[in-house]
Amino acid sequence: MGRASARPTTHFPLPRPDGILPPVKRSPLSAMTSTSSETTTLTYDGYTIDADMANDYAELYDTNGNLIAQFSWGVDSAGELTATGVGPSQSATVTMPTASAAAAAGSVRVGNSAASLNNANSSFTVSSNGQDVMDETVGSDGTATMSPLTYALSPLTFRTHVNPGGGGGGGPRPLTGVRPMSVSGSCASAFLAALAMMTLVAYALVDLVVVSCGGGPEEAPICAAAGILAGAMYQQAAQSLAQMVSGACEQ
Amino acid sequence: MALFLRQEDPRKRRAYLRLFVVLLALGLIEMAAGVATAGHLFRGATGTLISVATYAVIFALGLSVYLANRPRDRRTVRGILVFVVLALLWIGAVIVFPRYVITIIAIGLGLPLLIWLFLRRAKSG
Repeated sequence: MGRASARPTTHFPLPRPDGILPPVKRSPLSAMTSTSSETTTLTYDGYTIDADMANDYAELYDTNGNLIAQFSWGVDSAGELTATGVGPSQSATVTMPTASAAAAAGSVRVGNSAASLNNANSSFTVSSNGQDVMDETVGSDGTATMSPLTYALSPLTFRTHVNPGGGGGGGPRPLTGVRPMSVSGSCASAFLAALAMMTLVAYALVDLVVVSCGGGPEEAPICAAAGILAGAMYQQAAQSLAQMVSGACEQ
Repeated sequence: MALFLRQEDPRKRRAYLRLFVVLLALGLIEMAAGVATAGHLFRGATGTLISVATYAVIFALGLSVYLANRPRDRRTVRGILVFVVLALLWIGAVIVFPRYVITIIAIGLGLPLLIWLFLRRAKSG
């Protein structure tokens, strides 16, 4: 999955003797390439980050496999770095000046998740609920390392390369908010099982409402309590079954 | 066989069957949209909106069943008021409080309350 044991040869320009990186039109954040694969998955404390470094794109999933946020970043022909974050109900964009502007920094926050860009130390960090779950830094030797901060996994090493920049093709790609999934046997069977379960739950809850709300002199509080209970159970069932089907269809 | 299908009055049976179809359609739409959006539907403002819509539909079903089984008298009017107030309070809580709090309250308190009310009704005959 893109983990490398040895650091590869880099195309990243080495720092000058004064420690300052040469002002070339590049961004270590915009064009990271895995040494063994262009797509990699990091896990940290149940969180999962699917990073497609060749396309400058990462997805952050929570412990239940729910997509929390999508981040993309890119450099335009002028060398300006733009990062975009998209969440369930929010989206945000941050733009940084050219990579040579050493003090440039910015962050994109989507709900409780954020992607921070800091060109001063060439880092890109994804955090959730204030907890860093992924970062990428470019070391003085020019190699970029991306790792989950708990070091539960071996740090992943990526080779940087100069972003060609021209042609205006470096901007963030459009985000659809829908994760592509393949349909397999387990996916179809999970969907059928979910349909059956949903039917049974609806069946039982209509019974509950009918029994609670029909007959007897003082049913109003019982009827309301049954409605509350039925609503909570029904929604929880729909959510759990949707997660079950999503999980089966992603495999 | 479900209780609502054993209803002898054909009009009530049809009405209950209609409730079942509405509830099932709502659940299936919710589930399918949840799958298609990888859970997005259940999060944030959209999730709250979906919650409110689900509760509104179920409360409407409950009220229609209640009205179908009650004579038109003052006690029924009082019952409707109690029901509507409780329903509105709950929908307000759904908007204000996080989902997990709502689920814990609904199942943790709603279930014992329902059992207690049923037992009390059984005792009073």
